[in-house]
Amino acid sequence: MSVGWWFALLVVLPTLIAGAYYAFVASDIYESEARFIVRTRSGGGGGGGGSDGGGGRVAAMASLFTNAGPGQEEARAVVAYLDSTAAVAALRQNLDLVELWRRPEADFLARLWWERPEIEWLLWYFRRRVMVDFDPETSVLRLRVQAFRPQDAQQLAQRVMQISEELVNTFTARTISDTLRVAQEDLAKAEQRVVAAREAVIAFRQREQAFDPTSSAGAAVETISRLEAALTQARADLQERRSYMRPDNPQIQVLQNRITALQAQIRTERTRLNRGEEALPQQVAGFERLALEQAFADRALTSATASLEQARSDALRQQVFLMRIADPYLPEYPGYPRVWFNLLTVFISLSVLFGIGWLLTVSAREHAS
Amino acid sequence: MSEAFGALGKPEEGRDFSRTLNGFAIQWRVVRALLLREMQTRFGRNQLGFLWLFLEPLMLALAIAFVKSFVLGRGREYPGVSTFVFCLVGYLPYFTFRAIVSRAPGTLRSNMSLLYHSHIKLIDVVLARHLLEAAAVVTVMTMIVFGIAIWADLPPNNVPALLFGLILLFLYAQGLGLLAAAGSAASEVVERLIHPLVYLSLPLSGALIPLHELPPKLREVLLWNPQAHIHEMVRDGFFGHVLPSYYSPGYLLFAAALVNLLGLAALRAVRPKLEF
Repeated sequence: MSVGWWFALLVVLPTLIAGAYYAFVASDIYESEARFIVRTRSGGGGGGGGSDGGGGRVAAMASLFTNAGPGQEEARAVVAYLDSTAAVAALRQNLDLVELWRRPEADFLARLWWERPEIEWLLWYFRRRVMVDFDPETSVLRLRVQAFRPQDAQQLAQRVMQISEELVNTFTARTISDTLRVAQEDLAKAEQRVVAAREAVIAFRQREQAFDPTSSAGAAVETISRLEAALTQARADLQERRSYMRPDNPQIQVLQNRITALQAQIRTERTRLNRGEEALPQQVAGFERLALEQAFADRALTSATASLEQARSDALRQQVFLMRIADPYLPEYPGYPRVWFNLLTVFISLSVLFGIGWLLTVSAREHAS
Repeated sequence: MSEAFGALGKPEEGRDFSRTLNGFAIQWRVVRALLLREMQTRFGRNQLGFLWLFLEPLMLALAIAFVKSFVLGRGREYPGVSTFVFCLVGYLPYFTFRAIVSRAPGTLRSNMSLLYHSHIKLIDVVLARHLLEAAAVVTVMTMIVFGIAIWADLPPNNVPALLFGLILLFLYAQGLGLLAAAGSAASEVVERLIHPLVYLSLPLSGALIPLHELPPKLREVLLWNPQAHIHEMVRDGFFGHVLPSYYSPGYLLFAAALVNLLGLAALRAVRPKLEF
């Protein structure tokens, strides 16, 4: 056989078979395309501007380093989701994927090969017919859906957009509930603490029959010091009068009585302060602990309230949503299969392989001559 | 070339086929013998030749890792990808590529005398040299990959992808090597150009920088170069999803097949100039 025959057998014939398939068997495939973007409310890349200050700049820098703008993670999550069995299962709930890809007009090669496919095979086919590209530069997601009828392609594309949107919404709901839940729990705890502290103070007052042990202790100490001052004064007076009065002078008597009375009074006051059922210093210590707890609880409540506010505004800012740029359209011209491109690919590839094989064979034969 | 094809249209088909098989068997023996001979000349006397195969990529990777981390300061780093390992994995395929392509012209010159033997053809010499290079570099790569797996605790992520990438690398380099050998046999200018071109391909191949870091426009331009696909594929095989990679095995396969076809044809075309 000459080269020509071999070429005809190995290159031209397969190309012709492929051509015959495209000419007589292959069914039209319609493709519907949609574009959407996943973005956060804060949005706009590094455009946080002056109001955001340092935080905005740091975030912009971080996004520069990780190559991820706002909403990019979520966009990638959408791409990952649409590549999973979860998405196929979600789509199957209200769209018969198998029937859609086994329409009577579909040819035997292009259609879904199984009547009751396992989920893995269905996913394999799904990946061939539903394609999502993510452009990291513009953050635009491009969805392409292929089916054998224009309506099918459009309907399926719409449904895919819908489940993507649902996924993104669950992200938002989750973020909001998570952020708020923690803040709300903190607030509830702080409130309880304040109430408990107040109640402890009230109970203390009822038990000790004292409104404010600190100030009454202060008053007692003040009384003692006033009495002591009076005592010192009285002693000084006595000393002074003794220098020019006789010891049996009634004035001296008076002073001595006064000194005795003051000393007795001071002793009583001291005893009252230090002893007894509930000594005043202990009372004061206990009360001050309670008062301190109350002050802390108040402060914690203030900060919990503030952080709840913060969380609320944060959650609002973190909201992610899917924005439709171009809705799936109803295809009018069957863009697939790309007959000429495919045939040319087959022909050129086979020719190149044939050429290599031929050159190798020729050089091998020369060894035998 | 047409006369080469024309000479083969023999009438007896059964004998034709057995002659082809016989030819392949003889060629295989010739290539094997040449391979052993090449091995003798290259690694026979001292072991330095083989040692150098290890040392060069290791030293270069060390140097780049040093420059990157100490001179330029901390650049962008991916978690789980050390600069040293990254450079090593990036440079090894380029090292193979360079070894095959830039040695190709010398192959013909140094083996010219062998062509006096009627059984030894031009292509056998080139094939033997390429196989030797491939075997050497695959050995080095295997040992380095094992070393990284053991000492850096970083086993390759996807061994089939790594292996397939290396095979495609070899095929592509082999095609270009054939072209280089034929070209340098045809004209001295081509021979002079091969070395600078091979070195110039280092920055264009994305061997030492992940394509993921480049701006998308530049990435698209670089992806016209099959070498960039090779490097991305090898990196994907090694690092997996730690480092997003961009390559198309189909494109690479087609490019490899095309340069092989062109190389084989070119070698045939320059044959009258060289054979006796």
